[in-house]
Amino acid sequence: MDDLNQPNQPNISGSIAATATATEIKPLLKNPPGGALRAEPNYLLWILSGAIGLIFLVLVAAVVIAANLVISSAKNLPKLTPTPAPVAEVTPPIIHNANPISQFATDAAVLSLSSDLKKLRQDIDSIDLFETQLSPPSLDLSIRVTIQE
Amino acid sequence: MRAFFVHIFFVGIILNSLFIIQPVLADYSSAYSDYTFNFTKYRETHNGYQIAKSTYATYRTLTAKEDATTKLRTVLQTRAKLMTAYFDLLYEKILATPNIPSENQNTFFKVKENEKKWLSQHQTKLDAASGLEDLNSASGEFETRFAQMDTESKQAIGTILLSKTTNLSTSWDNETNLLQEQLKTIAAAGENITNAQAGIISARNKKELAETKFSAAQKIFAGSEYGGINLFSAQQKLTEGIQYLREATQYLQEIVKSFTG
Repeated sequence: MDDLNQPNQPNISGSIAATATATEIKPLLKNPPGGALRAEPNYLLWILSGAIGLIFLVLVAAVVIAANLVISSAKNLPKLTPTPAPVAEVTPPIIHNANPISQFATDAAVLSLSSDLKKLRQDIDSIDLFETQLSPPSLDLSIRVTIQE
Repeated sequence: MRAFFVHIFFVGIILNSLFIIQPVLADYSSAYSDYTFNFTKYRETHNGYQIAKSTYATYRTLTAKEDATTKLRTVLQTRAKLMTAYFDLLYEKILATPNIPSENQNTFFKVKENEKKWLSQHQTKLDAASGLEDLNSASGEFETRFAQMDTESKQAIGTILLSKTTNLSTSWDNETNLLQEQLKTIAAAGENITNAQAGIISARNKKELAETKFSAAQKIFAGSEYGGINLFSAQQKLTEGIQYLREATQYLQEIVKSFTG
C-alpha cells in the first residue's frame, strides 16, 4: 500500500490508479500548490481584441463617410456644355494723337524743347567721369641700387 | 545766285569747323600715342633695371655693377620722359575739352612748362651722374618732387571732369529756363500748368542736390578737404551728382511729355 500512495510509481493497476487520481487531483485543481495552474480568464486578450474591433469599426465608418462625400460632390459638379464658337469682330484702327492732351502738342517750340532735352539726356548718359586714359601712371618711387661693398 | 552764296556759306562753315576741331583731336591722339609709347618703354627698362639690380646684389662683380648703373640711369630717364609725356597729354586733353576757360588753360600750361623744365634739369643731372650714388640721389629728388606733380596732374583731371559736368549743368539751366518761359505761354492760352510748375520745383530740387555733389568734388580736387587729392573719391561725388542731374532731366522730359502726349 505504501507503494500505491506514491504518485511516481509507474506500474500500478488501472482501477486503483483511477480511484486515486479522482480523489487526489480534484482538490489539487481547486487549490493548486503555488498557484501555477490557476485557470483565470485572460483580460488582456479581451481588451486587445476589443480595441482592434473598435479600430476596424472606425475605419469602416470613415470609408463609408468618404464614399458618401465623393458621391455627393460628384453629383454637384457642373455639367460640361460645349463652348460657344467665338465671333470675329473687326479691331478699330489705331489713331495716333486723335485727341491731343494740349493745344501745344504740336507747337514747334515745345517739340524743339523735347528734342533738346532728349539730347541733354543722351549727353548725361554718355559722360565719362573716369577718363581712364588720363589715369596717373603707376610709377616705382623707390628706384635705387644699393652699393655692395 | 542767292542760293549759290547760301550754299557756299554753309560749306564754308563746315570746312571751318573741321579745320578748327581736327588739329585739337589730332594733337590729343598724338599726345596719347606718345604717352603710351613712353609708358611701354618705362616698363621695359624697369624690368631690365630689376634684373640688373638682382644680378649685382647676387654676384657683386664689377661688370654687374656697371650693368646695374647703366640700367638704373636708363630707367630713371624713361621715368622722367614718361612724366613729361603725361603732362603733355593732360594739357592736350584740357585743350580738347569744350568750354574750359582760357585762364584755366593758361594756368595749367604754366604748371606743365614748370614741371617739364624741372624734368629736363633732372635728365641733365642723370646724364651727368658718374655712379650709383649720384643716380640714387637723383632718383630720391624725383620721388620728393613727385608728390607735387601728382597733385598738379590730379587737379588737371579735376579741371577736365568739372568742366564736363559744368557744361551739362549749364545746358540743364538753359533748358529749364526755356521750359519755364514756355509754361507762361501755355498758361496764357488758358491751360492748367499747376502740375508742370510742381514738376519744375521738384526738378530744381534734384538739380540742387547735383550741385552739392559737384561742389564736394570740386573741394576734393582743390585738395582742401583730404590734404591730398583722392581722385576716386572726387569721381564718385561727380557720379552721384550726375545721377541727380539725370533725374532732374527726367522730370523736365515728363513735363514736356504731359503737353505733347
